[in-house]
Amino acid sequence: MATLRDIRTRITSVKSTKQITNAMKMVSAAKLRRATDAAVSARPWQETLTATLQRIAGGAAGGEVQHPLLEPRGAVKNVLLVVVTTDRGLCGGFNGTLLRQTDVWLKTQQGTLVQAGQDGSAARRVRVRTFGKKAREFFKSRPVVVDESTIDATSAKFQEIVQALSDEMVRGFIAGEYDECVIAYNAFKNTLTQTPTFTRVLPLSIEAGATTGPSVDYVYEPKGAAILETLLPLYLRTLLLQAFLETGAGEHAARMTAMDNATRNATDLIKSLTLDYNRGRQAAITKELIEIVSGAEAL
Amino acid sequence: MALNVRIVTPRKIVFEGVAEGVQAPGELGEFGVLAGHIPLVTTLKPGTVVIHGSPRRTFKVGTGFAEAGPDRVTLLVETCEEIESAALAH
Repeated sequence: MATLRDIRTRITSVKSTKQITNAMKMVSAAKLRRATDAAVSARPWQETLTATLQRIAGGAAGGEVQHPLLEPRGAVKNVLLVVVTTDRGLCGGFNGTLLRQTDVWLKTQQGTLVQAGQDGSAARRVRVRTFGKKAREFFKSRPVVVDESTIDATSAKFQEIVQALSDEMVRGFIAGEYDECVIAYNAFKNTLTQTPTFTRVLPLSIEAGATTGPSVDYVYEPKGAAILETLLPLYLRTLLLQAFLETGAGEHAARMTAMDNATRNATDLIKSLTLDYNRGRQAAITKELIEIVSGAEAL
Repeated sequence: MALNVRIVTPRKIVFEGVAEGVQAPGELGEFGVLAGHIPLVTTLKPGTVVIHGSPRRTFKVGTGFAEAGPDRVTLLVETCEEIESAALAH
């Protein structure tokens, strides 16, 4: 049976934990707003770029739409997987869910690898690049070779990171080092939901857009496929940047939700501990009274 | 007829407003857009964009592309920084 002093100590410690979780919740809420703002302000860029590419894919530029970055490889042997997680924890199942699914994804990839190996073709290889401390720690204890792991990917560096990553992807893809590039990240649906997503970014796929609104005949300069040389890497960068921005926003959202739950749990715990404490105090008083009364009676 | 100009980067909209004309560094050469331009999509190389209006504003831009129409110009560039008019005078 816990003594009154024990209960009092626990109440104090739960209270200070609650203060911390509550503060973290506030901080995350503020950061979430900034992160979603960043994601929202990237939208005009994305929309215009996507619309333009869809028009070109729709044949508006005249001539065949052909570019090495758009062509799927017949036999996919080498895959580059980029995993984007956060540096910090205390954000619920945000990183855990993504990493668990990545593990499953890798196993299915390796399953196809074995099958591919059996019919005489060369083995399929997955190369992994990670972003964030959590992914690095996760793969450390697993038999997965990580080519490169980057930590401290703060939002201020997103643009540089994306630039370097897309350059590497394009170089590797054109050189035939990778036949496919996949990025794994948490898609930001809303504050409560972030879904682990695996997106194939290379080869790029652009659906010919359903042309809405009045169709305008654009003049393209340079003509046809040449314009893709510039636009496709831009599009790739947009896709990657989106993954990073959504991870950034999702991290704060997940942490805010987790800390909100923690704060609520702490409140409940304090309530029940206080009840225990008061009950114990009352019992002690009653006991003392009985002792006094029975002592008086004995006289 | 006025020309609605927008300069957009992945981070934010750097400039949005009405101008008389825009000068931009196209991949195939410097070009200018005035109101009534034919619809045009072109890629941009790093250089300087000048927006003619009051006041006249100058931006240093990275790679990107431009979409022009009779009454609007949208420049999508990866980086964009305004050059101070004072620095330009020197």
